[in-house]
Amino acid sequence: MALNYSDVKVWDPLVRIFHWSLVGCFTLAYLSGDELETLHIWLGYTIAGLLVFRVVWGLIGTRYARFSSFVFSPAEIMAYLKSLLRAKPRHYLGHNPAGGAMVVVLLLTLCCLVGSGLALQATEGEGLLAATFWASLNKHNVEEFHELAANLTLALVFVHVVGVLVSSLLHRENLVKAMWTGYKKEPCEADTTHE
Amino acid sequence: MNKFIEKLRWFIGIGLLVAAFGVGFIGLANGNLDANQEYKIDVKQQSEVVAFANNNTAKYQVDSEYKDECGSCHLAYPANFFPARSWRVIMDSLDNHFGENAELDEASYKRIMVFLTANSADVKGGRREARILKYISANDTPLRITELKYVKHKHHEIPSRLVAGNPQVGSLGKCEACHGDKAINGVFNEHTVDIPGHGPWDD
Repeated sequence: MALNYSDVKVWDPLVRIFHWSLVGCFTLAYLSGDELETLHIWLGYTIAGLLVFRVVWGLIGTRYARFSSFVFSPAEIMAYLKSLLRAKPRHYLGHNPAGGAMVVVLLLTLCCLVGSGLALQATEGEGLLAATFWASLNKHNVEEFHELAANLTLALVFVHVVGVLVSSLLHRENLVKAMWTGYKKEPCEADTTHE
Repeated sequence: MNKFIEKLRWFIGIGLLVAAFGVGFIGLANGNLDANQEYKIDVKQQSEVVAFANNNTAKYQVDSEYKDECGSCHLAYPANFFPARSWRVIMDSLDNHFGENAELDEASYKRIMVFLTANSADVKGGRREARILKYISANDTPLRITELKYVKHKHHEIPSRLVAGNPQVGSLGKCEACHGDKAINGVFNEHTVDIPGHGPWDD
C-alpha cells in the first residue's frame, strides 16, 4: 500500500534559529567552563535571552511552537511511551508527548543553569544579580549547583538526542532534518485528530 | 488570530532573538574593558612599562631571561599572579629571597623587573587578574604564590595528601608538578591537570 506524503511546514524559522543557536551556545559554554570565563559568561547571557524568547514564543508563537500544542498530560505521555515500547508509536505532527515533555524539562533545567550561573557571578560581586540577595549565598554551594545543573542538562540533551533518533527510526522520518528545514512529511491518509 | 497580532508576534519574537544575540556580541566585544579600567596605578605610567606593554599586546609570553634566571630554581611564576607592588618587593630583596641569595646583575634585574611589572595583575587587568586582586586588600603585599587566596580557593577541593603530603608535589607553589609544562605560560586548565600518583583531577 503506497502512502502519499505531503510536505508540511511545522517549525517556523524562529524556532529553528532558537534551537540550533541553543545547541551551539550550550556546547561552547559547556566547553569553555572554567577557562575562558568571558566567553562563558556572555554565552550564558545569550542563553538567558534565548530562554526568554522561547517562553514568550511558547505563548504567542506559531501553532507548533506554542506550549498548548506540546504540553500533554502525564497519562498521555505514559501512553505514548508505552506505544513506543510496542514499536508502534502514534504519529504527531509537532512534538510527540514525550518530546514535548523533554522540551519543558530542558527549558526548566536551563533556567536553573542560567540562574545559578548568574548567582555564582553575583557571589563574586559581578553581573546582573550583584548586590542582591543572591550575592550572599555560599559561593561553593552555588558552584556545585551550577555544575550539577550543567551536567544534568548534558544528560538530558543525550536523552533528547536518543529520543529523536528512536522516533526518527520508528516513524521513518528524519526529525533532525525537519528541525533544520522546518518541513515534515505527513501521510495524506494520516489521522489528523491528534497532531 | 487577527492580522495585527499575527504581525506583532513576529515583531516581538524577532526582537527578542536579536536582543539575545546582541547581548552576547556586545558583551564579548567589551569583555575585558571594564576590568582594565578598574586598576590603573602609577606603574602604568612608567615609560619602559608602557613601551613593553605596547610591544607585547598578545597574550602572556614568558620573557626568556626571566625564565632562565628565575626558572632555574623554581617555576617562573606567571607575572600576572601578583600585583606590581609584590614584584617590586620581591625583586628588591633578592639578596635574601626566602632564605637564598638570588641576586641578579643590574641589567638583568632591570629587564626582568620591567617584564614582571608590565605583566603584573594590576597592569594586565584581565578577568583572572581581577579575581586575583579582589582577594588582596590594598595594604597587603603578598610575596608567595601560596599566600594568594585566589590560588587557595581554586584548590580547596584538593585533599592535602595529594599536595603537601605528596612527595612529588609538596606545596601549591609547585604548579608545574600537576599543571605540567604549560603552567609557565599561565595555562592552568583543569583538563591538563595530572596529579602525580593520582592522575587527572575531575572536578
